[in-house]
Amino acid sequence: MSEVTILLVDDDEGHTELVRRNLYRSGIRNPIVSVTGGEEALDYVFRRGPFTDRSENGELLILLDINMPGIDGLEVLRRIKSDAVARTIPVLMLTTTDDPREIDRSYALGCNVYITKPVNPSEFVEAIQRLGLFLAVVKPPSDPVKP
Amino acid sequence: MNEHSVLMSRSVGVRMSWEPRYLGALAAVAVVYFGAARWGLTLAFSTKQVTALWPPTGIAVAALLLGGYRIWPAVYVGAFAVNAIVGNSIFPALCIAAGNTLGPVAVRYGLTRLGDFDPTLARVRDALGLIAFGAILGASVSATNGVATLAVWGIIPWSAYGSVWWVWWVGDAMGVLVFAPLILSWASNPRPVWSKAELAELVVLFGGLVLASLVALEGRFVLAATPFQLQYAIFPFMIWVALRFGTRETGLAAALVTGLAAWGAVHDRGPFASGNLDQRLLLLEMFMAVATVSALILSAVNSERHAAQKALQRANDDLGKRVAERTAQLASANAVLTQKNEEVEAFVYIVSHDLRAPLVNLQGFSSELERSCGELEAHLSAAALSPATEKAVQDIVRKDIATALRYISASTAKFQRLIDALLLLSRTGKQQFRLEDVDVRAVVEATMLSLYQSIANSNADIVIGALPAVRGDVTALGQVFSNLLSNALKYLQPGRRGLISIAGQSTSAGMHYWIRDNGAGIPVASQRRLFQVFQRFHPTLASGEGMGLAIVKRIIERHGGTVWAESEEGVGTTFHLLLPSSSA
Repeated sequence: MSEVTILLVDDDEGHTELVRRNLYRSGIRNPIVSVTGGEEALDYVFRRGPFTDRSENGELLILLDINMPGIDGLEVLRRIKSDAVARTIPVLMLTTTDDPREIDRSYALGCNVYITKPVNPSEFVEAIQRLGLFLAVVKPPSDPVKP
Repeated sequence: MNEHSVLMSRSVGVRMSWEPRYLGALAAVAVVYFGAARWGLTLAFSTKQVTALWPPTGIAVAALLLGGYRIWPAVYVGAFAVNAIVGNSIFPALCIAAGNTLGPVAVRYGLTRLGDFDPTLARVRDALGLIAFGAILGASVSATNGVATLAVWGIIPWSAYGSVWWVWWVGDAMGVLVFAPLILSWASNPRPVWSKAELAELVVLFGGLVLASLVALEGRFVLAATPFQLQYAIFPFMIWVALRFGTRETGLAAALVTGLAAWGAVHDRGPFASGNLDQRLLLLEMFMAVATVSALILSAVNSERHAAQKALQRANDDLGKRVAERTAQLASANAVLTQKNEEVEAFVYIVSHDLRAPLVNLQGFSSELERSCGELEAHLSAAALSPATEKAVQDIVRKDIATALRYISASTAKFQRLIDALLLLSRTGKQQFRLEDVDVRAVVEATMLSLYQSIANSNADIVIGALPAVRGDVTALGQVFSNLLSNALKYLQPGRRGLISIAGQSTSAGMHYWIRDNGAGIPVASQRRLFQVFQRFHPTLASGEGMGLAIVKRIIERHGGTVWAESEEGVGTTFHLLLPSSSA
């Protein structure tokens, strides 16, 4: 799964750092890009603004927080999943919210996995690996990063 | 006060002023009095100066009652003029006129002394007052004076005093009974408002009354002088008008009937046409008195009934309005409370979620630090340090840092539990209830089953009494009993065998349940905070977040019920639940 880039979207950089360490410790060496807001995340996915010429061109896997200032995680999820091309990107919701209604809404909008922070590292890494494997085996029909 | 009193005070204020309005009123009364007398004379039996009905007295009584004592000169002038034209010489005429004036004045005096007389005659006491003072007292004054005058001047022999007095008296009394109510009721309320239906009914009623009177009182369409006593045929109409209409219409009907009866009697027609004069007069007067008095009183009774009905209706409407107002107030108060509640819920929800983000860092990075310490130690043993330095570094890593980390993780764990508890309470406030008839006994038994291990460990006896069903959410009520029972189990008095009883009963205030234990009890000073969040009273006896009772209170209050506790430290505690009855 070396070609898959992991996009971390979280306004709390401490959380991002912990996720990075967890992933590294589990042997995952994929490129990891982190952004701190919904707007930035969408720019990255759709190659806009500062990310127009981003160098990572492989598949994407997104770890997405919900509670963020500005465009929140659910809105990011909605925009990605309603885009004809980007919708194939696996999205893993990674958030402090364990409210059943938020979980239901996330799944309704098309998220692939929902994990509540603080995470159980092994469970978390297993989910990532499954999604990565899914990407490696089942090649999506089109280039998912072209807007 | 009534209209009459208003009229009285006004008359006192302008008593002696000869203003045109007053003079006009005097002239009008005098003319009407005189005209009524002329008409009354046509109702006289031709053989004697005896009239069956003397309308002027009724007019004088009504005029004095409406216009005050100052109307007396009109009555006097009218009465004098009448006496003059019937052939009395001047002194007897002046004397008789004085009595005819004094009579109505006495009526007004009597009714004023009686107090609270309502000229609309809408109450039984007004009708009875008019009968007693108007007909009986007033007519007696003028009859006594008039007949005495006639005897003094030798117009009649003293021996005839009794029979003439009687005839005079009944004529005057009937005049008052028939005409005073008619004038009083119409003058106090001159513009009747009739619906089309009422107007049609009145036409039918008066048509029927006139027809019945013509047949029964004058013998029209039957025989010229019928031997049959048909006069009772008019009573259904009199009762009809009294029950369906007011004193005005009733007065009109009474005047119509008595007038026609008198006219028939004088003209030798109808039931009062046969027999000698005294007999005919007696029969006629009896008939007229019975007809008018019963109609007058019946009408007054009916008016009172209507007034009472209206008052009741008003009270009813008022009550309804007040109930509606109060309900609206309660609803808006409730809406405000609900909104406040929702705000608090939202606050708790947001706070508990936002608190989680830094908590994740605290937990995550303290594990990271622990891990780093382990790695540091491994590197330490590999490095060639002097034994003193190695020991110092090891002390720092193993004691100082490890202790700090232990406190940090214990605190973050506690922090996590508190946030979870807050979230649980917030969800208790928001979760949807499904109300149904709950078998409380089954709920308590299920609770005991789930707490089986705690019960076994506590070695307590649990006694279940009667537990009637109640309307509520079965899951939420299960949580209530679970929290209360596990509390009772947790806070038993060490060294005393536990005894817990659970029971309930239906009361007038609602369904009442209680859980009684012989446990440690709650200090009096703490009881006030019993149902608040994060309250713990015996931290040494058991662990917990202090949320159990707050959640119990939450659930019971959302059911519309109340919860309270009685407790004595070292003796035990009883928790009471009062829930609305199923029927409520």
